[in-house]
Amino acid sequence: MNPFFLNIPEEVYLLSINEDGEQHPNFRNKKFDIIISSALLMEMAERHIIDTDLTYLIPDKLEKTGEEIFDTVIDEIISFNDKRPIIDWITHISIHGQYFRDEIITSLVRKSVLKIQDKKTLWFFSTRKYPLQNDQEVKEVRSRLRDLIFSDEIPEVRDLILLSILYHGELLDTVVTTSEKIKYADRISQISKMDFIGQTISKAVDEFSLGDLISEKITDLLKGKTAEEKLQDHVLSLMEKYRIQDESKLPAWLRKGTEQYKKTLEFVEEVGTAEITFNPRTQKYSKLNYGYYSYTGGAGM
Amino acid sequence: MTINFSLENGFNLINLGGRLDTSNYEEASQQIDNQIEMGQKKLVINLEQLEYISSSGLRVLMSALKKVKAIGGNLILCNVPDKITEVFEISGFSSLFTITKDLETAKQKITA
Repeated sequence: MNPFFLNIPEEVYLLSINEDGEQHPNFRNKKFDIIISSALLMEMAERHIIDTDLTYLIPDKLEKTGEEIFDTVIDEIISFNDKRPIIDWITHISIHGQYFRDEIITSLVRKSVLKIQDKKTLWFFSTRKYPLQNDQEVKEVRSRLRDLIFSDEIPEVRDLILLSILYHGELLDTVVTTSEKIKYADRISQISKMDFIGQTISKAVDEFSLGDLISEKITDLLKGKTAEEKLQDHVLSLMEKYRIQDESKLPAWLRKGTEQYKKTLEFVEEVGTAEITFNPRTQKYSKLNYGYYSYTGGAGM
Repeated sequence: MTINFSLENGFNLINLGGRLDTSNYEEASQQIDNQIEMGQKKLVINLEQLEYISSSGLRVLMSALKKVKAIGGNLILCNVPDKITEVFEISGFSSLFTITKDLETAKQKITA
């Protein structure tokens, strides 16, 4: 169980949205999925579900948490049953990016941090703050991290992790101004190094091709093909992109021969595109959400 | 992992060896915490026999440092093997700790 009000992916997600509750365009891309996936793994490392060293992610206490997004990743780690490089895992699990985003938003709404109104996400309160927990105010992540940066305190593990994500994911601007970033560069850099998953984010982001799932090129290539051909082309492209070497390691909904794959194929036939995703919790398919992936530009992203 | 403690003149010496990772971080943390709770403010951790350290292990050391500092004490690492030094360098932990090349220097610093 997570003793904290929010988990790390939720805290990172909240940093990516503006005062109106909308996600900044710089984060509406697959690279933000890599950052969220890294945040998930870092939370799991903090809970000792996994461990890491300079290179590897090492499975540890792989017990189910009851939290869907973590359990999805735990299932995948169990299926590999081996230590693999951290970068492979970050890239691999980001295949579930849209599902992670959906679940994070659902959870934040359930916790009364965000609300959905007219299909838009908004802060639950008029200002960026969290509800009281046991009559105690929960310090918002941005102010917590600012306090850490401007002090010389030895960081709490959780805050060290968050700062590492922001630094290596090039999201520091969500917390400090440019002049603050320059003034406290050494301190920020020192703390950000302290997590091996965090250190790997920038490499994973760099390696991840911008020719992502929604590229027009792929869409053009898929025109005129049967649903099965479209799906298979899509699966091959995903395997390459997410470093899946063996078809048996694909999620069931993308793995040929499974019952779930047949349902996937039916959905591809129905919607005419293989650019879809599957939510393991609701067991529902949907087309890629262009609200999440509408932008490929932005500074450093 | 092996861990043992000895009370020296003015400080507590902790010899930490083997592998410090997720399989034993709780035990290591608990034992070091016990020393701090017993009022030991000055700790020297000798890492000469340490062969491997993971993130969990690094956090044991960081947590100990935080606790010792909070009660106005000090913690020094000494005899750090090259492989572990590399991990400390890459993870930025080398700038967090006072690290000495040998036990003698650590003794001088901690009792100064």
